Amino acid sequence: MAQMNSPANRAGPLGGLLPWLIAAVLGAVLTALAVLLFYRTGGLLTAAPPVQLTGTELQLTSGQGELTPNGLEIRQPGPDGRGVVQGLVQRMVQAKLFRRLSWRVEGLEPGSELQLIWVTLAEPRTLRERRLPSVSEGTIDLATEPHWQGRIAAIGLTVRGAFSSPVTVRQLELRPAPLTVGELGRWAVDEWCVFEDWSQRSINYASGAPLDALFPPVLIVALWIGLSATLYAGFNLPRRRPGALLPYAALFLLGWLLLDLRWQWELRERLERTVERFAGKDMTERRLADLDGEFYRFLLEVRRRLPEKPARLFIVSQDPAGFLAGRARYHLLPHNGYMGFSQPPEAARANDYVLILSPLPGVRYDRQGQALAWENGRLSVDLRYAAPPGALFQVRGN
Amino acid sequence: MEGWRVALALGVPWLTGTLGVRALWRNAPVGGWPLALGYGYFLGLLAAILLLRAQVAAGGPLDWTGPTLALAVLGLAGGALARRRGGLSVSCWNPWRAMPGGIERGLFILLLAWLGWRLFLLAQEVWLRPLYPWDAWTTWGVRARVWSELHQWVPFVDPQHWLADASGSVYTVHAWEYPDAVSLLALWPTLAFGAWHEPVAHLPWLGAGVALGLGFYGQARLWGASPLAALIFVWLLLSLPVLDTHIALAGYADLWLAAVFGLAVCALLQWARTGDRWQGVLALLLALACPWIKREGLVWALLLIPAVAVVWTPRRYWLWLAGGFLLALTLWWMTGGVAFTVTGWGEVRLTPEVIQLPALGRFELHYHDIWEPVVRNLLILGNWHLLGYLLLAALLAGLPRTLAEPWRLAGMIVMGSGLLMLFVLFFFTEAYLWAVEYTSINRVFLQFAPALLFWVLTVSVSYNPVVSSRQPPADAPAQNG
Repeated sequence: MAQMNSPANRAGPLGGLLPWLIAAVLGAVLTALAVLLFYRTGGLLTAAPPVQLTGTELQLTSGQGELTPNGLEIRQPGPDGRGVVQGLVQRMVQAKLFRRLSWRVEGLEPGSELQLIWVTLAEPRTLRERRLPSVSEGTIDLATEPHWQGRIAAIGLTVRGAFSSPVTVRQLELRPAPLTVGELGRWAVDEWCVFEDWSQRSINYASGAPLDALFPPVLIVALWIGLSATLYAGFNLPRRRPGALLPYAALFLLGWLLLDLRWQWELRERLERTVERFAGKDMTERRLADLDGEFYRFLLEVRRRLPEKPARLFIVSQDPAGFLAGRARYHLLPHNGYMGFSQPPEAARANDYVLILSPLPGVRYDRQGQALAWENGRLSVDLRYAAPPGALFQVRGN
Repeated sequence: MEGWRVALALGVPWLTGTLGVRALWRNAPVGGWPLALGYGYFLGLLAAILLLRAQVAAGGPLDWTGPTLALAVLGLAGGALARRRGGLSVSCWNPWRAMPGGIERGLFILLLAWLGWRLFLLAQEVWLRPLYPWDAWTTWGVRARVWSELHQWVPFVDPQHWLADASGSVYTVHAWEYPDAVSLLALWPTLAFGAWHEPVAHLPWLGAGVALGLGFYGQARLWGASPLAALIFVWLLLSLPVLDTHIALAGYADLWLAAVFGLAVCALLQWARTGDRWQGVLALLLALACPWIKREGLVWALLLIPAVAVVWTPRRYWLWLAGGFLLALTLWWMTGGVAFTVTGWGEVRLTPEVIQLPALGRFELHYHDIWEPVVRNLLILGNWHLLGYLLLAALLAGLPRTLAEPWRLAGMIVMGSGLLMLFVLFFFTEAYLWAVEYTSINRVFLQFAPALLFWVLTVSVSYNPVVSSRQPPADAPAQNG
């Protein structure tokens, strides 16, 4: 952007427009070639390293066994005759890319049955299964598996057999399958068109594409600018004259504009959803339509049981620093609430209120004794309201 | 009716601030009006909430009318002064005068329309979406809502005090000791509205985005950038995704700190270049406001001191200054640092192992290798478009001429110390987790982004003498450069 405002600059870009255009176009071609070459010559494993689940990352969820230096050992099956081993996929990899599954299991007996199990981010409660060849080591491509979709949250193995000797699961591995040039191209387009609505993480970062994108727009555009600028410099050797840097500034600004076009598109899409959700509604309706709308409905009922004048309110929950506890406090303002409690506080006084958010293990309401009871503690209360998300109590005087 | 009251509550401080800033200059410098509108917004609103605090402290009600009337009177005085000094001329506002027709004018209009569309999208988010981001409904918005709904100033104390309090007249939030300016900024328009209404509480955030753009544009023009170049830099600023997000999802303090500190740096660099004392005053006022907005604002404000010292020191003593600094640093290292107590504030400890400041906390210093998340957030993810690359290029371009003029050195010192502070924070303290978990890293960087971008402008836009729309009198400060 140097000397952008110099009068001499105005003639420069027009005179040098053709080499600039050629440099920009060739730069784009070179960028595409460079990226394709990178991914076709082994770069894929650098950008998307395999997910390996070994001993400590695996858990035995059905059956009996223990962790050994060789892996997770299953000695006995669970009540349903199966030993089940599973582990979380921390990176939540994309099924479409990570479709090569390898396993290493020792001690499989003839006739044993081996199955892959998994859950996805979109359906965390739905366990999917697929039969695997009953061999100690193997690799399969899951491209044709209809439920291998979205982002994989956890994978595991189930072993059904006689278990006359222990079965040891040494490793499960997911690797990205090599992508053809066409697949890489479509992958890039898909990544650049991925839409992500506002989330609680939006205030912290704007990824501009999936976090694990193979073609992060900013990096690709920066690469294009760098290559185009180098080519242009080759066509027009840099000289110290007014406006000499203007073509480079123009490349940079064009790159920025491309990224901003995408960001504008994303903002517009987000706004569409915001309008769909909140437009034409009063504030209560908007909160009911918000991400914690059902919880807000419960809190409206709680508020009806609270006095008109702000009362002191203890919000007790399993996760005192968590989302629901904080939202409860905010939605019930100006009641004088605080949510930093995992047990009813001893400091509660008569006519204070206690809001218990379910589930809260270890704390129960003794209906006959009209008291909240927990280990080494008891608080006399009157139940004011109860519903699945929680219950409101008023502290009784002695 | 509520709408008019809200318009008055936001408009009067803005107008007063604008006229006050405009009255500072006798002539009509290029960029003077946008500069005044931008700086006037922040100074006006900060003055409004300061008056509100003073009114409450004096035993008055938590009410917007008193401060607004006081500001209206001040605004009239400022307007009269500006008029007498010839500062109300709007001829300098017209960008076409300085712009040839054709492509440049067309690009200017297109860019302006693009920015208008962006702000229109963000305005709708602000207006439609209930309070959304985390810290807003755990801290900043909680205090504002309590004060707004009770129409009463109630203190916020730490949770232990709250538990022990028998009166029920004190409230608590986890971050009870955070400064209150941002909560007051959200509170202010709702007092005029008459009830807690989140879209109204968030309007100041939208205004902050607009005012930041105006102030930045004004300073860019004053620096000598053409209207198109100045607007391009405003576009670079207002298109930053993290900044846009903080407007759309209003309620956080970082946008305010970014704007106030950024505009303070703009004014500081102008002062460093021209010696214009009013730019110095603007820089000082905004720097003083930084700790009131967020605790780390104190650190940002302190970072300006070395730059001021360089400008005040004659060039022939720069070597001595640098030598003295290095000597002090060596002594500090060899003696194991310093520790002392400031009465009424607490213990300050600055050692190679620990940094402890009462208002900020204690930071144990150990190196954490977090280059990967830092590089990803600044250079690969979409947070900043290409700002990271632009910064690297500007550093390369700016370094060779750092010692050519005092303002260049001052700018480099602000940038260098700011980046060094971020480096120490993220690589040597427990705050490294903020980078690893992708939480605060971009929010802290946002606080520095407008200042960084203006510095990039200063090293990339060739210096042109400031052009006034009038013949300048001999004492015109903006003409000194």
